[in-house]
Amino acid sequence: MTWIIFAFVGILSGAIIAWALDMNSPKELMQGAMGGLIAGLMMSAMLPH
Amino acid sequence: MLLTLFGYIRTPVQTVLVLSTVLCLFVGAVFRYAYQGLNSLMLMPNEFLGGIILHPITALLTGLFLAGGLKASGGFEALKVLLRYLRKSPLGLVGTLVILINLPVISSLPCGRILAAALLPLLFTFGFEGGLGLLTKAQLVVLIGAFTRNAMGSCGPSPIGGVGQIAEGFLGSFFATASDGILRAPQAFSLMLGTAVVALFLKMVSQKLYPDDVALRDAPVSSPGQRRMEPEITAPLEGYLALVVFVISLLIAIFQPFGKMPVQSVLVAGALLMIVVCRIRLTDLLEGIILLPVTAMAAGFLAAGALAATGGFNALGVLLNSLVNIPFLGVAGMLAIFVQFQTILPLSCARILTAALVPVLYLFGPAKFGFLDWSQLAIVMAAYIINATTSCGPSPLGGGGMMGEGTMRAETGFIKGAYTFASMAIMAPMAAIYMKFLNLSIFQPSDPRFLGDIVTIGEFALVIAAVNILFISVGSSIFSGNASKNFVVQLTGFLFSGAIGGGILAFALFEHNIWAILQGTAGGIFAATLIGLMVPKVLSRRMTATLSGPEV
Repeated sequence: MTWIIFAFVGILSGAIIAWALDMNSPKELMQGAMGGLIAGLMMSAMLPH
Repeated sequence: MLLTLFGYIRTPVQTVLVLSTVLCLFVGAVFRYAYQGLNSLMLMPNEFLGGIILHPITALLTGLFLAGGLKASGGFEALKVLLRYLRKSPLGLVGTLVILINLPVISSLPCGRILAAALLPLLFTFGFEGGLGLLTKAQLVVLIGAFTRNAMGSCGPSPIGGVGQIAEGFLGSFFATASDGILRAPQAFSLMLGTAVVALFLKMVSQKLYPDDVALRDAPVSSPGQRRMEPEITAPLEGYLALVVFVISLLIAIFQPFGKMPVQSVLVAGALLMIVVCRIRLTDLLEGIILLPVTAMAAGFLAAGALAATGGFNALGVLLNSLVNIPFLGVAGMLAIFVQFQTILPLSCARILTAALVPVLYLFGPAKFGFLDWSQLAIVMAAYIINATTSCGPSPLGGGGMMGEGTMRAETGFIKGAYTFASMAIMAPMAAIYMKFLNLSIFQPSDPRFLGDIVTIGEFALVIAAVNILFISVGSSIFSGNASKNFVVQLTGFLFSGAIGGGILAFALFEHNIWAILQGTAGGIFAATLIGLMVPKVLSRRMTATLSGPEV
């Protein structure tokens, strides 16, 4: 469950950061969300389950 | 401290803290002798020295030591080459930047300054003045600010001497496996979301409020047909080797595969290995040590040690406890203020106050006052710790955020609004919600309510983020050239967000108790007022006055 919730917050925060960086084309938002997804999953891997 | 925070005392914070320490010890000694006798007075030096926490200072020194080796051997050049490959992958530039921004919380070192000192120079290169010219000034401000925010909260969920472990130790009284990291996930979750909101705040609020206070430059406008050439980056073999040693050292420090050992030992061993493998000099490593945060931390811990020995923190606990008797605050309102306390009074390192206030918070639980049961105590601890651990970011007293401000060539205080807003409005309530709806189920298996609760966390995350983004957007559209009006608009936004944050915390603790939610809302407004008033109205004039005197 921790994996799911961190994947979710990673995607959400990645998309917001991409938009804040003025990279707001659909492709860039998707790339930001993907970067966030990877970050969220890496973070989840470091946590106790 | 308050006079220094507001710029009325114009001496280095280290001097102020050392003088405060001496004064505090003198007053404490007089009272001890008068009320408890000579024996108690003789014990005070030991209590004072025992109250000084050295671990984060030595962790910071060794981290900077290792980062110095990485810099000297060309490790950053190697990282730039790797990042260039990552940028050309399907993730693109923005995906790479998002991972970079979240790298501190993923690595979770015991002090965010370690990774910030290592990577901030790299982030600077993305701008025009750094050489790569991939980002504009506005984008670079967001990137550096968001990264520094993430770094200056990453010491909380660190499993190797992190701030959160102070509270986990206390929660271990009831939750048998608390020391495995009961507070880590709530902190990491809220920090990731809070970092994103900081990025948005910096873009839409800070850069509008302080447009002339960042000295970074944009690239000169080129003719439409002129193609910008990306400079060729090469790295020596030693740089790649140093990077490998750096990463392996970090992984060993975090995962401890060879058994428990101090993070300092691992990092020093890594640095020594760098000297041998990459043929760098000891002086190169020493050049990586930044003295300002080290001395600020040392001075802060001296002051904390003095306060602990003279009963200053006990007095603070009594004072906060007395807030419960105020009818419109009650327990919920007092806790809504308590969890924001370190953002209200941000010091150079979160550990200074955390070490003192977590025992006070613990006493609000079943151990003494009985205001909270164990589950509620865990929830309020989660909210308190993320708020506390991020408090070194906005501190003007040698806080970690100053490293980011220095890198983006901004005046002191530029990032304060963004950092305090996110800690108050996003991180504290989200950590409480995460703890209530997911982590308690993991660490208290007798209460498994997984699936439905995960959806609840997602809903809260979306609503809290959406409401605060709405506040930021509305505020951004109202701002004008009038600094006083802008300040009022920003303060109003803080009050609304603080009210919602306090209400959510009260809901997480007391569920559908309307009176408690109202009290939490009142407490949130009170805390938000103090936090909002500390955000500087203007930067340049204030700094000029601070540096040059009132006659200027």
